[in-house]
Amino acid sequence: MPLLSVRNLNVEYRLPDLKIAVKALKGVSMDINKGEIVSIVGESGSGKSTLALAIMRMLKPPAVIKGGNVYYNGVDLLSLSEHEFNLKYKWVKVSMVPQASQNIFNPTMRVKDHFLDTARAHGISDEADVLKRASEVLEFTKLDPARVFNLYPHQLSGGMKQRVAIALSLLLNPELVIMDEPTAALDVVTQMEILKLVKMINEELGTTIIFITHDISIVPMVASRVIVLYNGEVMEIGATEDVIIDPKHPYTKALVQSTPSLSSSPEEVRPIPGEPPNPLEDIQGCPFWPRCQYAMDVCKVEKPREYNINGRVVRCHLYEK
Amino acid sequence: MRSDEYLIELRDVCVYFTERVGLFGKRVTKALDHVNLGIRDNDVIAVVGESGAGKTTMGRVILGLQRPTSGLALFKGKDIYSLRGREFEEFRRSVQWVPQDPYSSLDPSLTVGEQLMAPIRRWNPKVNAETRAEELLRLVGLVPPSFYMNKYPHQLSGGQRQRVAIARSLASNPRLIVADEPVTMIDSSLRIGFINTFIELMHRSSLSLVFITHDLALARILLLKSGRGRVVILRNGRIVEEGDINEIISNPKDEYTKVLINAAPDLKRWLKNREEGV
Repeated sequence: MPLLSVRNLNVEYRLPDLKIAVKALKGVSMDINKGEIVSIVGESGSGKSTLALAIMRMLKPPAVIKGGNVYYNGVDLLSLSEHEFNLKYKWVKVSMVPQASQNIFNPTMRVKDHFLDTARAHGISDEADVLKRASEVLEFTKLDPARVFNLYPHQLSGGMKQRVAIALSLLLNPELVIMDEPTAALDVVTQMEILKLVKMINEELGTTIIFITHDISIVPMVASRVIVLYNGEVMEIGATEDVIIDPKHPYTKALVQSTPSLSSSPEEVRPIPGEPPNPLEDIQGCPFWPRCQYAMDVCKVEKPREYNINGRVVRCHLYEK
Repeated sequence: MRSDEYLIELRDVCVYFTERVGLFGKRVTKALDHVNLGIRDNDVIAVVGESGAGKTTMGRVILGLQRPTSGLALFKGKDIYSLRGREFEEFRRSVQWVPQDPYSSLDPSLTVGEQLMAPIRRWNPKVNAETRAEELLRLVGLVPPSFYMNKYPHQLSGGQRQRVAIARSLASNPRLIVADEPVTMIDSSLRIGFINTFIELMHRSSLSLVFITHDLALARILLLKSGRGRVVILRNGRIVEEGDINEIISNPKDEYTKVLINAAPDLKRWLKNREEGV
């Protein structure tokens, strides 16, 4: 049994002014196995953060879950009472490093107080205990607790803030950590260090990690499997190597092709044609067809089903036999 | 080379920021430290470095927005800060800026057409502003222009906004554009398209480009596609390396350049290492 299993998840943002609902996630299904690092790749508006927040039950209106299940070890997290979820799962089993960790800290609180505050929110009030545990996780993220405990957020560099955010997510020793764009605002050198840290957490603590990013070029540096999202739908799921060497879905193919390497020839790097989908417009059929060079008539009317090709999940009509 | 052959020349430019520490102490941050750079017509220069390296400060000095602490910033051989009247007008018209963040640099209360027509009227009072605005939109690939003229920035995607920002920078018919990390806010699949827009602009008219980025791979594609230009690697306010991008990537002289190259995420290198079992 997978550790986390998302089944047919649908999330909408209701916009009362416009009298419409924007569908952010449309029937998303995926499995996360214990002990692995899985990367969710998608561009802005593809639903990555919505998915993370839905799993954490942190979606707020106007977002509404319109159906689907999130099973954690077989228990549907969405059916639990909020009290039970907060007590038994949130941060205890599943925690999160939110997007833009640069700005998640309270500017008036020292680093130490952020740890105490988090613990208190989960009913743990023994300060000495919490600080001992906080020291452990900070040391693990290569920060010196004695030094950073008394610093305010503005005294930390971007990379240090990211490390503190990661340490906070590890405070209650969770089995699964969802990291939302943990390297987004960092330069390449700091990014490399954070990627190494993510791998180390996985290898040494055995923590399962969902690594959300918009940048496919960093995926092979951390994740063994990758899930490709586009416009709120899963396009492709597979082992990182397979997906990058031989992408099956035209979107994945185009995404890999649009990513320059230090040795690419200018001709082989090509942008994905067209514009990203407008979230206010509901695209009939496959969401990628307006930009897809292989689009057929069927793509414009019918959503592709899930095809299984050698352990790979692909949702594309090209694979209909 | 005579210095008036450069459009813009930075000569031994230092920019130091002094911060007070405590009552009597002060701390000096060297944002640029003895930088020399010459930009000619039709030049393409990619400025690469990590955050805090001084990239944006360099852009601001070129634009005349940041006065050097010492050294000179020259426009056609003359100190930018000695320019008066017509000469200053010519400098302003000739050197324009595409800011980093198209979400905050466009006026949310103005339509795309209005954002473009204001600078057109400022610089070319004689031309029909509306026709020229549509021309600029076509130039940056926003077609049909009539579709975009009456739209507000919030109705556009990040990539479209970025194109509007480029179109606006072209309103004065500049000879040099300083683009400060213009792609960080847009999706990776559109970045190459954005580079192509610049390449096309440079093919059509005489235009120089200073492209500030932390992405070495993207800088390389820009330089190779434009078929000219060079890369400048900045570290702690100093130019540590300057020259042909392929030469620098395959044979970096500076330790820091090596670090940048090794840290750059690279799918092809990853595949190669995997095949070789590294």
